[in-house]
Amino acid sequence: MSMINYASREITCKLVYYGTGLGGKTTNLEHIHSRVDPDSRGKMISLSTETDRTLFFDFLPVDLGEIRGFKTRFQLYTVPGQVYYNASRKLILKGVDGIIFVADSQAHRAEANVEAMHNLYENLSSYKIDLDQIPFAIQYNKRDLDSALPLEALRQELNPGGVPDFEAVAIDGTGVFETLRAVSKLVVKTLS
Amino acid sequence: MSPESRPDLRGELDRLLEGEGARAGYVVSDAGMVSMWAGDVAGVDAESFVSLVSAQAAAAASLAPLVCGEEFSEMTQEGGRTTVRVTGLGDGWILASLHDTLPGQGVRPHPRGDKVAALQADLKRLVGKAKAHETAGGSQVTEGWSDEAASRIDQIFRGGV
Repeated sequence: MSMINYASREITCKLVYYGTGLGGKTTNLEHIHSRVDPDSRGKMISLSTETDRTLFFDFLPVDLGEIRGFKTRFQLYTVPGQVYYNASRKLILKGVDGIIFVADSQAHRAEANVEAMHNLYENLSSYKIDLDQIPFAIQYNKRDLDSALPLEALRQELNPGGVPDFEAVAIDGTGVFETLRAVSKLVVKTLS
Repeated sequence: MSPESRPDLRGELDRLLEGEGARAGYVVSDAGMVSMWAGDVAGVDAESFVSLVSAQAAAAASLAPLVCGEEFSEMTQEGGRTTVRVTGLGDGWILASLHDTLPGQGVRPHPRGDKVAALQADLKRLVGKAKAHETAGGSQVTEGWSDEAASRIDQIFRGGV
């Protein structure tokens, strides 16, 4: 949950990008890092392997400045996509305020997307968090690829509940900020 | 992007850190949120430091039961000039303190002896006070805050350079 420090008048919200390996979570963060005014963001930290696979997490702090007397910050995290890092994925979810599930649109990744979604539900349940109760959006990434499944097929499989969803090509930035804005706004709404 | 720290609590934390021979310290939740800090933190990228330390502490907390069946009360990472000491405070809180590494001697041992229990107890009390202050303003932000935050989100996350 968001940390509201009334003493120092600070609000910190934690957003986590979740999803299957090589789906584009880190690419989302890299794009955000490259496009947000450097005065408003901190350093991006990537704990990755030599082959640029996320080992533990990526982290990007963004400062929204002072809003009605509260210094407001967003902390953006990604989790490692590979299933054998599940313990790390679970740790990163601790204290989460909003989640963006990055799905890989390619047909051959359909099963991996579903597995990652199940894994998200399972890991959240260990913190007694119900995905239906927190700000959540799905991003269908890699929409530019020939092997991408039709949007309706992805929706049917991953979004039966009709949460906000977005098409994206994270590598060129398409859909990246739309998704981020949507979940961030849902998060701040929960605070009022 | 350094988090704020309430002056009176900072004074208390300062004294505790001084007693431990630390030059600075952050009290952090295991979700990576800073509750308070004190000491000389010049040159420290607080947000990056805290996120890494909290993740490391959370990982170590999961690791400990696998190898020794209990929690690590403390972890130390010694560098050439600075040593980072992470002390578990219970209830999901940690103290990450920065110490000068003494040439040839490493970091100064706890003045209170090997046991960190006394420090933990003092810090727990301080965290309790901080938490009381943190919630003292009520459970919600002021009216209109969300609308203004949403408009700020549109500005900062607009996607242009």
